[in-house]
Amino acid sequence: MKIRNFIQYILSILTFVFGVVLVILNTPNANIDFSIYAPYFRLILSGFGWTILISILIFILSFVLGLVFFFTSRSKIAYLRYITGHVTDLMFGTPMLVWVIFSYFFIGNATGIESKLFWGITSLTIYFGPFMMKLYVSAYESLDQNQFVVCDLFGFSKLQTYRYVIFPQMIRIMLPPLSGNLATIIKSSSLLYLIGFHETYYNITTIQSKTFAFTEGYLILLIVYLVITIPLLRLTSYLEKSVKI
Amino acid sequence: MKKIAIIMVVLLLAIAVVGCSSNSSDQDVLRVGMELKWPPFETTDESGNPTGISVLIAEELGAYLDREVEIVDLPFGSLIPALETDKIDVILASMSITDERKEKINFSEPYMYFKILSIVNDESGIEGYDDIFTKEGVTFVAPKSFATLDLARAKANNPVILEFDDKATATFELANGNADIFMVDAVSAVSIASNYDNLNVIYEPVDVSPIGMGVRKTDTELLEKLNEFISKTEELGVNDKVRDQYNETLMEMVGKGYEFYLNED
Repeated sequence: MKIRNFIQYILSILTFVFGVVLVILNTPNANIDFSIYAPYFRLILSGFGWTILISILIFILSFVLGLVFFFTSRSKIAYLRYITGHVTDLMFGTPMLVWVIFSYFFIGNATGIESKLFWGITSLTIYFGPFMMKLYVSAYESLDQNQFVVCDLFGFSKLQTYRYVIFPQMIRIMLPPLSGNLATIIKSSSLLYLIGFHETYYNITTIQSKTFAFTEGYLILLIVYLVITIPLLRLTSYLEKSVKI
Repeated sequence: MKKIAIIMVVLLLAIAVVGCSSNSSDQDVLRVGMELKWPPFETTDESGNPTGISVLIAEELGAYLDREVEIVDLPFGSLIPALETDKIDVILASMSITDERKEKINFSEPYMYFKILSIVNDESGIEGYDDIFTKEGVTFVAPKSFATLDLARAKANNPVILEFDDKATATFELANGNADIFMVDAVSAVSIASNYDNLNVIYEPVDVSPIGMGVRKTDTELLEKLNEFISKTEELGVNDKVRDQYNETLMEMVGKGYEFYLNED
C-alpha cells in the first residue's frame, strides 16, 4: 500500500514536470541556456537571502501588529476603534503596489526616512496588519464566549484568561490561514522591486537586463520562489498537526 | 598707519582671490563623467576599475591635452547637473546630441553614432529595411516610453502599436508572433535575436543618433580642443587602439566592429 502510494506520488510530480517541459518545448524558439546565469550566482543568492529575511520579519511584525489592531478594534476608547477601522479600510481598499510606492516615495520623503529596508518592511507590515487582525477576530469569535465567565469564576485575571485559556485555542484555529498569509507575504515581497530593494525579483530582472536571457530569468524566478515557499508551508502544516486539538 | 592697513587688506584680498581661483580650477586633472553600467562602452573590470571604449577615449584625450584623467562614475541622469555645478569637466558617456540637452550644455562634434536596429519575427513578412515603414498594418512593439514607437507612429503605414512594461515582455510578444518588429539599440537587438531562432536583425538602422562630448557653455576653450581631438582621432591612432582592444568584443555583442559606430550610416 505504501509503495503504491509512493509510485502515485512520483507520478503526480512527473505530471507537472511533463507539463513544464511541454510548455518550454513550445516556447517560441527560445534557446534556453541557464549557464548564462552562472556568473550571477551570488547575486541570485543574495536576493534569495533578502527575500527570506524580510518575509519572515514582515510576517512576525504583522502578526504582532494584527494583535495590536485586534485589541484596539475592541478598545473602550472610540478614537482607537475608529483609527483601526480607517487603517483597515485603507489597506483592504488599495492595491499593495500603490501603497508600497506611496510609502517609500511620498511618506519616506515627507518624514525624511529614506531607508529602503525600513519602508520595504514597514509598508508591507502595515499592509498585512489588518489581514492578520481578521484572523484574530474570526478565531476569537469561534470560541465559546462562556469561557470568560468560567475563568472569572476561577479567579483568573483578564490577562491570565487570555494568556492561558483564550490564546492557546486561538492559535490552533489561526494556524492554517496563517500559513496562507506567510505564502502571500513571501510572494508580495517581490513588489519591493518597485522601490529598488534588492530582493529576488529585482536581482533577477537586473540580470535579465544585462544578459537578455529573459525566459531563463522567469524560469529561475519560478523555481526560487517555490524553493522558499514549499519548505515554509511544509513546516507550518507540520506545526498544525502537532498542535491539533 | 591707515595706508599700511589699506595695503594689508588689499594684499589679503588678493591672496584670497588667487587662492580661491587656484582651488576651483585645478587645470591639471580632467574630470570625465560617465555611468559605468554600459558595456562595452562604460563599465568596470573584475576589480571595479573603470574600463571600456569611452574610458579608453578619455585616456587618449587626457594624453592629447596633457592632463591627468579622473573618471567620475555618476548616474546618467545626473551627468548634466554635475557638469553645470563644476563637479566634472566633460561628459564622455555615449550621450546622444539632442536639442533639449543643447539648451543646457555644449556638445562637441559627433565622435560616434549609435544606431537603432530592428528585430523582426520570421513570420512578419518583413523582408528587409524597405518593408518596415511601407508595409501596411505592421505591429510594432517596444517598452513604454521608447522613442522608437514615436518613429513608428510618424513614419509607418497604418501601424499597430503595442506597448509593454520592459524589454523582456516586449521580446516575448515579438517571439510569440503577436508583434512583427521591435526597434531597439544595437547591443540589445543583437543579443535578443541571438536568443531566439525565429528572430532576425535588420542591420540597416531605422534611426541614428550622433554621440558627442558635453562641456559647460562657458568652457569654449575646452570645446575647441575637444573638436580638434575628435577631428584627429584617426591620425592620432585613437581609433586603431579602440579597434585593437574592442573589435572582438563588439563583434561578439553586436556582430559589427568599431566601424559600425564611426560611420553615420
